[in-house]
Amino acid sequence: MSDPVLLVLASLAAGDKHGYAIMEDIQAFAGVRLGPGTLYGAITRLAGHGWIRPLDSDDRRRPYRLTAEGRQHLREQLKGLSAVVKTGLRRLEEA
Amino acid sequence: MKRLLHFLARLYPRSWRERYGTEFAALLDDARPRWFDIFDLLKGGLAMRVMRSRISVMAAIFALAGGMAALGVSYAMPKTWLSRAAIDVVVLDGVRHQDAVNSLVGYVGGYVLADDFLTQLVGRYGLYPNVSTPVQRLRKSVMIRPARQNEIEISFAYPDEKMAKVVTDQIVSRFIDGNVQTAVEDAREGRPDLAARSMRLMLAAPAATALLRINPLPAASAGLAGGLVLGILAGWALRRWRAGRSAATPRQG
Repeated sequence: MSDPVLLVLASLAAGDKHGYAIMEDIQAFAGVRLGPGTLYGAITRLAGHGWIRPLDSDDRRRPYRLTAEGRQHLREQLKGLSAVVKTGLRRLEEA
Repeated sequence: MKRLLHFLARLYPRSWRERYGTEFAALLDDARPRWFDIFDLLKGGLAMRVMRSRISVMAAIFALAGGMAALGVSYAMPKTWLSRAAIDVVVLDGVRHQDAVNSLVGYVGGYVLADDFLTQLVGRYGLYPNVSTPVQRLRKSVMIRPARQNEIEISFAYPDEKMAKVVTDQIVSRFIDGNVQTAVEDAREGRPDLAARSMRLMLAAPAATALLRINPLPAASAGLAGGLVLGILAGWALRRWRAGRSAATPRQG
């Protein structure tokens, strides 16, 4: 999976994080290093959709939180992916 | 490197920087910079500008991209040489030139483009060495058509200038020969004379060859205009999409 939007949602599903923490987390669990432009492109889109929201911070690093809508969206997307993965694996075994 | 990345972050639109600039700068400070980040920031900044731009800016960006793409295509097109020859048709009084020319193009043209002659040309000159069906390709590249009232134009396009001319001259010779051959066959078999074919005289000039390519200036202008229209449409669609999205899911935070 390399869709930055899904990766950011999946990262925030584990708890609130700021940009750099999201970047590190994604690299750890998906082995993908998102560039800063790609990461903030995804954050901008996600915030625009209302799937994540910024939290107040005294620091320059602003943390983000997954919203209920974001959680729902992530669940639907992962279910879809899971169906593709299952089908693909089954077909590979059958071939 | 970090300094360069901070500089490139200025490519993002002002409204975006006012909202995300501080935390973005913090990320650039925290993350270990990589060379790929330069491209990533350029791409991100451009995408954000397009997403947030007005219709006029979108139109300008698309027009510029369209013009440059068209210019690139016009120079990247493989070279093709077009060789042209004209055959003057002279007929006896009382016969309309137009009838004779039209008849010749259809009747003798078929004789010229027959498989046996084209196969012969392909074999003799080694035409289209990398094409699986060279005879069909040759047939497609030859054009025989009425030009002026008493003129037939024969043209042939090929990547090699000298070969284009040689083959065109061969086709012209074949056409003139076909004129006689078909007239003789018609007379022998008692077929009705088509547009006084037996009373024609043909004069052919040597083929002239010119490089065939898309003229860069008109191509760039067309690309510019096409991009402009596309940009206006894209800007309009984007505006509608943004309006719909903000109505459906109001921004948070």
